[in-house]
Amino acid sequence: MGSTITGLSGPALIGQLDVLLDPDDDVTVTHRLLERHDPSAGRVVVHPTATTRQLLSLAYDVLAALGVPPTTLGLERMGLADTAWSAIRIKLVAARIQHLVVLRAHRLDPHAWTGLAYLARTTMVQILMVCHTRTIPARLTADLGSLDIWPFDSLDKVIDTYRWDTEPPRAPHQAPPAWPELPARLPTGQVMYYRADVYRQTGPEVFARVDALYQTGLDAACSWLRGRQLPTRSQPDDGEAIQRFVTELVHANPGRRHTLAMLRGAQAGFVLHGAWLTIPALTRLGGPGVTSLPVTHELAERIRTLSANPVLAAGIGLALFTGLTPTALRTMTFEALARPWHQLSVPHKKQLVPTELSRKFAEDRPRHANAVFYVPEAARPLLRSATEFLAELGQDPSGKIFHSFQRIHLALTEAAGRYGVALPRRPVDMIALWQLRVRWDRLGEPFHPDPPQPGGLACHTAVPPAPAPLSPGRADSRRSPWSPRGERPYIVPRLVRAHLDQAHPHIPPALTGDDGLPNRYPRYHGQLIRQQLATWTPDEAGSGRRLTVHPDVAFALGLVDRPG
Amino acid sequence: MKTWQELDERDDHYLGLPGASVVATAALLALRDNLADVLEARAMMCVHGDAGLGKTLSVNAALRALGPAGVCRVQFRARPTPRDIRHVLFDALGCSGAPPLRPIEFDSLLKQVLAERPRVLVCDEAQWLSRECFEFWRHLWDDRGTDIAIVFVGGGDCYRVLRREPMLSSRVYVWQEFRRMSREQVLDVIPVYHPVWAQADAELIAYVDAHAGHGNFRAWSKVTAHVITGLNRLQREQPDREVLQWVFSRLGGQDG
Repeated sequence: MGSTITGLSGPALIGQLDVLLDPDDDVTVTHRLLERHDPSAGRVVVHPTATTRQLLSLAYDVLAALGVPPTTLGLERMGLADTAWSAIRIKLVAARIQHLVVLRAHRLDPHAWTGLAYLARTTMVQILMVCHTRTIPARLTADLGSLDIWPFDSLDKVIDTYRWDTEPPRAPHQAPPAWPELPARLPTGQVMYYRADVYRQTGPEVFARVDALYQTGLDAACSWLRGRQLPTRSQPDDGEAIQRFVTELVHANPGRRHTLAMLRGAQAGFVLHGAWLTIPALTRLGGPGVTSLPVTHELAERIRTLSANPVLAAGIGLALFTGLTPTALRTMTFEALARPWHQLSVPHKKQLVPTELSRKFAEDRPRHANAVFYVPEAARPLLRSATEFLAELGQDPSGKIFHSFQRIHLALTEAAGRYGVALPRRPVDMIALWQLRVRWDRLGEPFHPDPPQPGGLACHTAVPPAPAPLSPGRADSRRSPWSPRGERPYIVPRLVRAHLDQAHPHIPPALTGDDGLPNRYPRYHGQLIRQQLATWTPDEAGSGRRLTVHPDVAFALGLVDRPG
Repeated sequence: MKTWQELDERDDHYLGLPGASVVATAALLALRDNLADVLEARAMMCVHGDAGLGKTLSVNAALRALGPAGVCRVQFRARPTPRDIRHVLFDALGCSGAPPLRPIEFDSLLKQVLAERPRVLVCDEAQWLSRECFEFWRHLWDDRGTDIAIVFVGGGDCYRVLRREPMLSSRVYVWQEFRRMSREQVLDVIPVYHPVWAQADAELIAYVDAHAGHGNFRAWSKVTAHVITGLNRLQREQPDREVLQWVFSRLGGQDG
């Protein structure tokens, strides 16, 4: 190893170019380096096209080495050298590339070396140029300014310095757990009856699968609500936090049935904490967990690798986890992609809504001005890369993300086809997002301890999972059947009262008292309780009847282990 | 240009000389062995020597004898560019659709096709290739995905041109030079080469070689074609000095 040309620094430092000199053009050097090409391990070896000399054509070679199919370069607006090198820089960072090796660098134009010098200065990537010459050609380094250049005289020294043989391999991402398969038809009743309906109408195995999702939703709600200030009439919720909670809960769900089971569980959790979570009927609506598709790490990596333009990659990611039509994404601005990376907030009123769609939702308008999405962890690097790319190109923050694509819906659809990514089959417009209609209100009757009691027990762990339903005719001798006279159900009528007055669709919210508690209890409770949530049971003396909660409701809340 | 599949064995001979045989000369036998090794190693080979010494014929004959699948033969008459080679390979490999416009797309397509199954690329008249062209061949061969052996066949400066490229001199697995046949080799080979010489005196064959053949297969092929014509015109069964005088007068050679 010799001395540096522009000042001694040392091998393998950021902000310098390393050069491997191989004057004999030994075939084994080239082949050994090509064998080291492994982007998943942070190593990329660029084998420039035989006629490559210029900055732009070298950029194409680097993009191809990063996994971009050469046929997509023109389609993804990579016609300018600046754009292509910006995309490279972003992709190198996103792919956590540590070493970039450029073969046959002695054949390149001096201008092409400046592109690599740019990477050396602006990234943490260590760049190795392989020159089959005795010395580094002076014409190639003349324009590199103060950049240090460190020559190697053997590949073994490079491998040793870069620790290619001793560095532990990267841990692969854990594959997400498989989702339970659910039958095509499942009950879709309201929260107080959903669990009991599933219990009665499906077999033990299906119920167990649905109930696992239900419990996940319930636990998530309990966790989310712990220590959280419930909204009041004087301090209503702005809708942002609740939208983020529900979209986070269901973002990875494969479809509507899984999402409904989780949301019903979450609703039960809200009731247990003295709150009511309003979820709209999902049949006409779409969005996360309903029309969206899960973004796994594997899928995100596929998109990132195959895309040349980070904006298109982000567009595909957005189309997947939002469940929106590509057309609906058209108005999304650069600002919307900014921090925090785990949340995306988009004003839905900026969208032009077709008249027929506006009529369709005339009776069911969105409650919130902004649609909030939880951004899946795997999709965040895609959005972040697009943000950095646009910033590097000097994009106006208030400008639209996809302004460089005239027909973004076509560009996204075609790009998804190229990457082999299936987009959502029935995406919706912004106005049809279900989370825009989600709200939560105080009921005032919490049943779960907050802070958790007794000591150390989180409230969600206090709810035992429901046992599998028994086969008809088989009695469970270990557990006594639910009784309205039992200890726990005594507290439920208060809940029933609160629920009826606050959330029944026929009761306008305006009738709620100033303290957030119902004030028309006498007016409504009789018929509704009798018909829906409560039942008359003999009192303890056996001489009369008393009103108590319907067993299905107690089952929905996990207070009993069997419905009525 | 004919593809390997279209190329008839008769086409190997200069002027498609009827009745000519492929003679198992020492050079051809050595070439067959070398080629077998090169195909086995998916390596590069260079067959060089003066024009007319039977390099192309020997390579074709050896490939026929070894019978590898996926032989792709390309030949350039003028000084080609990498772009020319890309287009010739595009046609020779039977790629469908329109040729891509960008070099990177073109090379990607070719590498994709060359990775599908083992192939032997025979590049004739390699002495015409520039450094850029050799870089192109090297690029295809070095690629980890491609599964190819490359045989460069060239006359004149071929050896010098290839040797001065370090990238090739370190990659070419076998260099084989074709030389003129010695008088003894001529006397052994020519009677087998064509029936017209089967009964000829050794003295006559030596006479022809000294004045027109010069140990060069292509020259012998030309002489043989004229001799056949002369025999027909002069109503003779066997070539003699009179027939040869007539032939030499057409060739513009010495009349002895």
